[in-house]
Amino acid sequence: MKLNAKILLIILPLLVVAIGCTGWFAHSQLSEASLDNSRRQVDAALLDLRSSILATQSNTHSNLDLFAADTLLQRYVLTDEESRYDLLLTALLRLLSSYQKAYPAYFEIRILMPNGFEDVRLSSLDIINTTEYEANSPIFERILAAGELDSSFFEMNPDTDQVAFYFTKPLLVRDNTREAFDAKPTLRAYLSVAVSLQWLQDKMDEASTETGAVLMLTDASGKVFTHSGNTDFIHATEQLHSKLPAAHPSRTMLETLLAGVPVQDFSTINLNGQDGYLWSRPVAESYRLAAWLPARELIKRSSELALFIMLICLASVFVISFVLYVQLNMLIIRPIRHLQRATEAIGRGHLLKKIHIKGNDEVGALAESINAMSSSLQKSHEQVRFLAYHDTLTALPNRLMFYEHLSGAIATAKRTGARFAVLYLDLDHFKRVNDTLGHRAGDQLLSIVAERLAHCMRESDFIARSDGEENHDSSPGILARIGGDEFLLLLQDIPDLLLPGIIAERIVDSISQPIPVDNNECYVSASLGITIYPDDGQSPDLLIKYADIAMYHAKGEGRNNFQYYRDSMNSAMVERANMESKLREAIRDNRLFLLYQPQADLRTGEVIGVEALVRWKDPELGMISPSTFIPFAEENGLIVEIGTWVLEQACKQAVAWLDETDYPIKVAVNVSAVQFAKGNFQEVVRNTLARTGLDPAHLCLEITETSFMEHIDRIDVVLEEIRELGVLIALDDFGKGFSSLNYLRQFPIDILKIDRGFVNELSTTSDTGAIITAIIAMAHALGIKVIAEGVENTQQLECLRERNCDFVQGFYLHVPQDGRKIPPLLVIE
Amino acid sequence: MKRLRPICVLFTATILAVILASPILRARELSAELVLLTWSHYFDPAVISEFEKTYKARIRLIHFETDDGRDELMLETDGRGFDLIVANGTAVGKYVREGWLAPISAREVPNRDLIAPQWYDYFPESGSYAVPYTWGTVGIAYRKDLYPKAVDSWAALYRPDPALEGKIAMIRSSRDTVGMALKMLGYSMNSESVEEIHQVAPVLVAQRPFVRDYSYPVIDEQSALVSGEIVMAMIYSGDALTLQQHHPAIEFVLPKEGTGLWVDYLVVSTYSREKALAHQFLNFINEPEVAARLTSYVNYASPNAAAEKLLPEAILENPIVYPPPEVLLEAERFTRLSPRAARLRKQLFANVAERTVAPD
Repeated sequence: MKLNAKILLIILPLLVVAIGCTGWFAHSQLSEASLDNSRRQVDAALLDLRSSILATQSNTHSNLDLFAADTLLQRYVLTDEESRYDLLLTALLRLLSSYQKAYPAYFEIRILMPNGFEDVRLSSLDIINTTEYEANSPIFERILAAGELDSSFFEMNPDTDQVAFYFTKPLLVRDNTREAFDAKPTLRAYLSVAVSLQWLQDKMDEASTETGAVLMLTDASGKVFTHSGNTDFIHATEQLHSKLPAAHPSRTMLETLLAGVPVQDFSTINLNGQDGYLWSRPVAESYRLAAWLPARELIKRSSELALFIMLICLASVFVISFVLYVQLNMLIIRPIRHLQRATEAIGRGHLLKKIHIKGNDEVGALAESINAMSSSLQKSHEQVRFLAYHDTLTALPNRLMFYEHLSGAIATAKRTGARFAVLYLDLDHFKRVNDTLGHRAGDQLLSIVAERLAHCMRESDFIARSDGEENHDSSPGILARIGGDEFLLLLQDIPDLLLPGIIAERIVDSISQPIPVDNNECYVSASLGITIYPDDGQSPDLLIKYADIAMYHAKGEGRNNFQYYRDSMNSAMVERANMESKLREAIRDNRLFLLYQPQADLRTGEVIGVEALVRWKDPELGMISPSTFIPFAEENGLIVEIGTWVLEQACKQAVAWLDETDYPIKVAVNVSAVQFAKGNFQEVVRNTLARTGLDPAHLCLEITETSFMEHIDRIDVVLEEIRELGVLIALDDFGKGFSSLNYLRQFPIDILKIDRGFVNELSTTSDTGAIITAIIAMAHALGIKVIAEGVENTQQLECLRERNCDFVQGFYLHVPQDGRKIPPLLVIE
Repeated sequence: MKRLRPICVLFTATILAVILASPILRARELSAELVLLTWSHYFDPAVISEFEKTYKARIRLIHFETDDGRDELMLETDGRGFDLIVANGTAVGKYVREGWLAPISAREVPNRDLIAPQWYDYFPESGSYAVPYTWGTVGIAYRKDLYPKAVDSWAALYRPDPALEGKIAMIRSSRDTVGMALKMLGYSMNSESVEEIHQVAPVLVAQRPFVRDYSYPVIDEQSALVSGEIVMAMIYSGDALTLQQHHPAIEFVLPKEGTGLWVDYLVVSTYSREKALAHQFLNFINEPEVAARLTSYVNYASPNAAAEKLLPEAILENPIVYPPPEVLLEAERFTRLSPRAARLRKQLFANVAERTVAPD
């Protein structure tokens, strides 16, 4: 449900109740007023009718006086019948007709003789009266009853069957020609006028319509002469009158009813089970004007009023609801929708969109809060962005940002056809700084390097550091730190392909300067690889990858230099990658195998042991030299697996040989520095021995001088543990590197293995012979046996023998061979 | 002064003579005037002038419209102010009764003997108080061109064609209007039967919407019958003939139910101061030659037997003026009604003709 519907649902019932209460109150008040008003109206109508009747009465009497004074009339009544009818009648009729023209309500003008003979009759009705003698008519009875007085009464007109107002004036005329002047005037005739009550009927009907009451004119006995409308009430009373015998008690019902009505007020009366109000006002002596107002008439009016008020209330509710709806919409719903849209926009990331809602109400405050929230979100968003796009240590852009810049630069260059360079920089030996001086010092060093790199960028280059603004088109270059000691540089607009080299050279120089770290001076160097867009690659990935490759090449070239990327570099890399997968395959499929080169005692010529040499034969590539794949395996760590495998195979072989020949043969296994680095090497050895069941005394581990140097901090512990097992340790390739005699003293070494380089030179250079003599002498002095490898001819053999070398190994004596070919050699001579 | 005296005497004498003589002159003039109450167009102006010249007298004509109107006029003046009165047969008796008429003898009006005795027999009083002037019938005049149907019955007038609404004129006279209605209903026009008269009432009430006027049509070129405003009218025979001269399409019919034969008399007022001159006038107009001229003028038949012989064939042969004997035999004479019967008719007629529109 929508909010405005909810609010309306709350307000509307309250509104309906409030307006309903108001309407009910108004209705009750108005009903009361209307009741009062109705009563007053009825009363007023009665009074009005009464005064009209009285006015008619008085006017008609005056007119009759006037008519009676006419000489023609006077003469007429004095004249005998013959003359009267022959000569006077027409004139009199004309006179009466003129009266009737002046007073149309006088629908019947008559002259009645005292004996009841209707002498003259002028009627405006179409009905021609046929009765001449009126003596027995109720009207004439009434006239006679009045005697010589003017009379007025309501009576039924026999021609019309309607009640008329009858006025009669006795014509008392003295015949001056025959009678004395003081004689009493004699009653000659009656002048009678019947006045139509149509006007009264009209007035009553009008008042009845206005008030809802039944109005009637009755006599004292309750006989109804005329009334408004044709109502049940009148019918009931009329029927009572006409049908019931005179003595019937019900006949007097209306009379009784009317008698009970106070003169100036009304009575509340129940008539035939119907409540109502009855008024009665006397008029013209013995007549009454009565009004009957049924309560249901009032209720009808009241319910009309109720309907009207209900309609007004309904209209109010509708109008107010509408206004409320519109106002709610304007004040709350629309701002809320606005806010909703704004927050949706914020949700979609349009943080800078401001909500423009003014006003000091809650909605305005909410809008302000949302604005504040959105701007603080914007700030943290920027921060997050910065973090996402920058390196925290140096505040340089990170790989992500560099990548984006690079993409931008590519897009721009595609349009403009410009060239640019990507430089991949890796610090040499940084790990050593971290290891020796600590991470804090390493961080310091990196910061300084970053500064220097920044300096080294071409002057025109812009380095996006911390402003976070992305401006691909205008930024000429960018420096980013993408890993521990790796940086990427983008150099825009290179007019000359040598320029990146110049800058790279400057960088190499700058980095190789001493770096002050914690009062020490550190020395690091950098290797850089350079790729050029679009020559070397056209996608960010390729450019970075090739720069990386070039950088590796620089490292391969002895570090502290830079290399432009060449396609050949990539093929070497591809080859390496290919080889890696093949090597993994070979390990998995057991394509590696061991050859054993026997080692002989120089004095006795007896085989004292063998050196296990790992060989790899690939089904496609054929035999692959260990000098090729061993360094490779060392680089990618496969050497650990290979080494463990070799150790196990060699041990198994040795056990086999020992079982077969019972010859005390020793098996020598090469151990790579990487294996030491793994940390659990002594465990591997112990486990292998345990598993194969080889007597540790038959195992010799050959470790190169380089391995010693790289793991100098822990090598002695490892070696000590291994020696405690009873395993012999040989220092391999002695004389190839530092040839530190110090190691001989420092480490627990059993055998020293002179590098084949020395042995090669033995025949040609006398210096070499001297060195070997010295080495052997010194080793012997320390109790270390010496073995020479790479012995290829007699001369070398003799030289070694002269110098008291203990053991020899080489093609001259034995080539490396399959393990199965070894036992025959194991003969004690 | 002496020289002036005879002139003064002459002057004074002349003035005195004039002053003294003027009343005598005026009296002579007054005594020579006759006031004649009559229908309009009822006397040939040539005859009147001839009389005035011959007898050095003046005749002033006062017109009445209907018999009832004349009665009223008489009543108002109580019979005074007129020397000669044209009265219908029934009125003569009434007037005599009121004492308004002076007796007339053959000695005073010798030419009275020229009139056929039957005309004196109709109304008893006429023998001693009246000189018959004309007689005629009452019938229907209508415009043939505007009402193409044949008219031969009183019903055409009393129960008219719907087209005649508001186009009928009836005589404002209860005798004629009620009487002819009685004839239409097959009763005597002199009926005194209350029952019969009451049968007339609905006829008149029903006819009323068709009646434009309860008045006698004017008898000159101004007449509503000539203009066509009135298409049918109850009319006295001679007037129809007069109107025919103004419009040839006016036709006169004596309905088949019969007509009423009326006689107009000339009577002399009791109060007349010129009775001798009045008698001379009566004698003059009854000279056969004069009577014939008057008949030719008014188109009403003369009761003067001597005059009849002098009338042109055109008039004698005209059935309107002299209806055929069979018609005359059929025709009823208006007779005097009893007062009550008269009252009934008058009242009936007044309630129709004088009717005010009743308040509904």
